[in-house]
Amino acid sequence: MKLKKLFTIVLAGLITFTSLGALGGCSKEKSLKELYGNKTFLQVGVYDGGIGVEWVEKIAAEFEKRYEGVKLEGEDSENEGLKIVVNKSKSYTTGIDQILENEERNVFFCGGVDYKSFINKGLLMDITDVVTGDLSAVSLGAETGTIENKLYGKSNSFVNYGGKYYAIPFYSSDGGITYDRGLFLEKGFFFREEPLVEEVVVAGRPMTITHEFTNDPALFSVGPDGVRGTYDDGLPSSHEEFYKLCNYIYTNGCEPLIFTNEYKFYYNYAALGAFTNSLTADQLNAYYTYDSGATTVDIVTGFNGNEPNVQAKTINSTNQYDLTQSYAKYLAVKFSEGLATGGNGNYLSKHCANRLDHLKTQSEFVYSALKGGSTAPIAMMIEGTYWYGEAKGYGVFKRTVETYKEKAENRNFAFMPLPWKETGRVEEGEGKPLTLNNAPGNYAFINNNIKDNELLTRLAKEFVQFVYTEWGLKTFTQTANIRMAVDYTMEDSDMTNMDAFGKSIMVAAREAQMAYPTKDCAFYMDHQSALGFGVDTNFWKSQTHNSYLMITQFRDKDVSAKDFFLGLKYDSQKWNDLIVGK
Amino acid sequence: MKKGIKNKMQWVFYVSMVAIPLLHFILFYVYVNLNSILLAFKTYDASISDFVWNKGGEMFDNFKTVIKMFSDPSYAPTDFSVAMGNSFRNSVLIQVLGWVIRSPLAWAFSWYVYKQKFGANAFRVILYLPQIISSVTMVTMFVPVMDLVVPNMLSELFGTDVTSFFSYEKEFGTYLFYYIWASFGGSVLIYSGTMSSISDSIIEAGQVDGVTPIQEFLKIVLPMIWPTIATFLVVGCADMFTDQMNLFTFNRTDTEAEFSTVGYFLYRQMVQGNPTSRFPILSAMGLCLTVIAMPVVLLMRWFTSKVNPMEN
Repeated sequence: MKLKKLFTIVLAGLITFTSLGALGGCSKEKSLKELYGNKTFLQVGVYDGGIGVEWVEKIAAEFEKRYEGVKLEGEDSENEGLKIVVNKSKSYTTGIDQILENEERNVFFCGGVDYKSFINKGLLMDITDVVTGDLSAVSLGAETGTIENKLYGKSNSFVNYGGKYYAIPFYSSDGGITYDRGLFLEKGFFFREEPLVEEVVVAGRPMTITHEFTNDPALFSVGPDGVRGTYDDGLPSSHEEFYKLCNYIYTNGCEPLIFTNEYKFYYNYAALGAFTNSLTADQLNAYYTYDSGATTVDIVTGFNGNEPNVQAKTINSTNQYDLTQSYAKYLAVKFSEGLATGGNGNYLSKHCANRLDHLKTQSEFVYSALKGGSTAPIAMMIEGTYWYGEAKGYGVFKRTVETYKEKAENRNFAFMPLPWKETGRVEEGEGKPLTLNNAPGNYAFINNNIKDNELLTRLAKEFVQFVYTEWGLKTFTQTANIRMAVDYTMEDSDMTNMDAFGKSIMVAAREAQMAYPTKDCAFYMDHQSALGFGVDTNFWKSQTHNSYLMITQFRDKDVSAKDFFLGLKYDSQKWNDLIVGK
Repeated sequence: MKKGIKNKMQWVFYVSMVAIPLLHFILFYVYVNLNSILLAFKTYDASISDFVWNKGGEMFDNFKTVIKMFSDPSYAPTDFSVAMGNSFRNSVLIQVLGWVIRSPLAWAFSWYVYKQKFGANAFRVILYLPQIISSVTMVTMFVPVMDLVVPNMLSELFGTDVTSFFSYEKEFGTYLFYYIWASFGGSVLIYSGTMSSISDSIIEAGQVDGVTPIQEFLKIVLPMIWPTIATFLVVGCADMFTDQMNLFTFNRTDTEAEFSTVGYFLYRQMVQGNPTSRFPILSAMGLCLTVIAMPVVLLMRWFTSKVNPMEN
């Protein structure tokens, strides 16, 4: 009996301590002064995830140097020098408007901003002087010009709200596919310009074998852009070629594709990439302006059996809903179906049958080519381009180097532009430059709750301006391996020490046509939640199937691409009821 | 006169009895939910970032939208991304499964514990553990076990390829299993506690009369704990449209539309994206759901009192 009591007390104690242990984390944090000494503090909030914080810490360290030994708060103050305190939090995303007013952070680089609504709520500081001011002072004479000149659309940019600026576009994540270029080169997964036909005798019978793939860069095909000697040489130029590649990868003992099956909407990154690149920038801009002017967009007007009837149309206020049935959208949906069901389901890694979250998926992808043994290397991953910074932030690459030493150093991952045509091959001179999209989503802004603090306002403005100098933008890109959603160019010399993945994005961006909204896209901006074309939006939601999860529809429920695509359709009445009228 | 006083006293007694629940209702439902109720008659105006009253003929627009959503899900506002039809079906399904699977199992285990059979106390602790440990921790442990460990074990055991219990065809079943398993311990504790309050003399009298253990369970124990069973049934009905079936813990906002429950649907709409503009429709939906749930709860209450084996 005594033993039983003792056991009960010990158990109760354990449970209590376990519960209280959780409260341990709530102990009072050290003050900034205790941590950094007597300095003036500027606090920066960055979303905890995606591209990480290393980039801002680097830029901040450089900025702080300018104020070494300077008493910013006056000669009588005990504070000397500036410390930029970077705080990362999962709260700095959707719902951030609920906390901004009482938030200690002064400058933010994050998503979850409903630009117009935030301005109306008075949450964003007017930074017109930052955007239109000359950069020569903050760059210490290294450059002239303004941030406004770097905005896509310049003074016509969508962040120009009534002649004033309240935020600057931050980074841009390009949807699509990442491929392990190192593995591609090792195994020879690149298309040959001229297939090699070989006559052989097998079991006494003469046979013709066609070798379509190679690892010799001199023999690479021209890729989707149709230009020889560019970054996409040897990559699939049509959906048909992409499936051929997947088959070839599979028959060579590798797994073609992986995506996170826990967050199934990530699978839509493939569709998003295919959709974006199936249009020219002018055509894609119609999804922002909803008035294409003289530019025509191919619209699917119906089906003849399973073949779509396509008609080129200009888009205006009378037929905006036609954009829900663009041929580019159809191609993207069909491509998604092909990836999910093609090759008897073997295009997707066996890991896609389990509940791997995005971080574990990234890890599987990175580790797969190193493990050896029975682990099949995974050739490609469906993800947003921010994945690299995310994996880096979680120490994936560091751990692989610790385990696999030099074999894991300088991994060669690259961004793959998705094919824009369905069948055949793009021949030299017949290609199309990559189209990239700069959707509103992530912003740099200053918390308006410091508007009465002259010193903090000045420092915050100066810091934001500093981030958008050429040096700041390049440092950002070199560290975060992703591009800022503003117009700047990274020369080869700027990318010497960059990781291969970031370099591949910047090289692709250098040659791409950019689509972006402007301040004239009021209809889009007012209905952004309904019209935005992110991976988990209604843009991809089939009303018939009540889902935007294409992987489930195609892989698990045998829905056809045609049926899913037709489910995306809005007619005039629904468009007016649900979009225009809202 | 005496009769009048008596009536007055009866009134006082009646009022004092009714006043407390009424006050409770006013304070904790009407007052707390007043803003939410009023929102059902407003619309979010993005240009001023505030809610404005629906005036005149537009007063019931949110309710009309909700009713339209029920008849044609595609008329759900574009950022409503989980199907209502599936949610209703699943909310009712988990209630019914609660009645036909969880409750009988809970009664049986409670009886086992009450009878102090082998390992009864250990069972009580083990079954109650999911209630003590945080649901996030439980789900975090449960997912890899059902995703990898159990399929691998079964594959080894039967020599066939057993896929993850989170693969599409098994996923909903896995959620149901977890829902029943994880919520079962709490009721076992309450049922076994109630059974303990049954007078030993009643049980002994039954045993003297020669009842078998099964007869004892069905004809003595269950009728004696009927008020507790009835409470669980009525409260369960009231909970029907708020029960999330742990889906948010499993998937946050990313549950497949067909696995959703109404509780999950509503919660998801409240936390996903920028939800402010959705509040009016969600408020209207909440009121509509109250209108649906209330008669069901009253019907269940009437039913449980009607079939009360202690009275029959």
